[in-house]
Amino acid sequence: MRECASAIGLSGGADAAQTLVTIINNRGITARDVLAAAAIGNLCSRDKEPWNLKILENINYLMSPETLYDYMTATGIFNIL
Amino acid sequence: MISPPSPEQIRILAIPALEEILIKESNRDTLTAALIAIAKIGIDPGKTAKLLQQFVRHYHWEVSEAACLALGILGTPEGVPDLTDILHDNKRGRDLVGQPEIHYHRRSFAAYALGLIGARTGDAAISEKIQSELIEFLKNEGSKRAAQEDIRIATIQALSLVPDPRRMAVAALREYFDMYRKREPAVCSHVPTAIAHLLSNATIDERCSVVQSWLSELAESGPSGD
Repeated sequence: MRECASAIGLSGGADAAQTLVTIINNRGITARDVLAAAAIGNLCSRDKEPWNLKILENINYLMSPETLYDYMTATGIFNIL
Repeated sequence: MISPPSPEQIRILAIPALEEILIKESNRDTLTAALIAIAKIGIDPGKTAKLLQQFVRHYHWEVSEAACLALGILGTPEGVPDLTDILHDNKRGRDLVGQPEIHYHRRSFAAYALGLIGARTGDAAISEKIQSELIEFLKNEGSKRAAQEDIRIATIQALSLVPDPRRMAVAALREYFDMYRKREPAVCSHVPTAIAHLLSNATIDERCSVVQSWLSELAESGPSGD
């Protein structure tokens, strides 16, 4: 699901926007709502590249702290879609 | 052929849906996603910055952190004063987030956000202001071991994003590396790539001077590379 939210930003078109907004408007408290919100941000983003790519370019992966990538809580910079 | 959403679709469909989440939703994950999404879209930056700033003081740390980062993704100067105060963990920053002390996670996100603003803004005065705040952190609190590694690494990475025509950041990073590379190898391991990124458009002579110092570093290291 998470990968779909990223992929919609890369490949989706105008029709996808309507579907995503329908999911958002009918939201409960589900992961689907979160990913729909993320996907619409990706789809309508003014930038073609992911926002965190600039940071990713310079990273020393072997010495990466939890604020960059957090396996446990998924709250690092690179965990955020 | 798939056509992307039109500006009108974004304005009348996407933005209102995301704004509604920000007004009505309490689920932190949904709020976080909407904050980042609205910043990526970047329509009406002044209005969006005001909206995001309200969430910097949100009671849930994840939402507050996402709001900090979203201000960086939006990339407008409105976020700079709040993000600077959060990074420095000063009185105004603490008042802003309603905490007696600002968690290192949020301070690190503020540093990254400042770097993102510095990378996007075309205003030299703004990028110089951001750069000087990041360097100030690195030279003061960031030079002490008590400062969390995360904040120091975030500051180094943020500095690498901000244009550095006067080589202020390169000088500060080289000095930091020379002083602390033995004591703080994990933090300093982020410095050479940061400098290399800042010098990516520099003259060959300038780059050679830095490369020479790294070659000496390698030559002096032991067999394990330490």
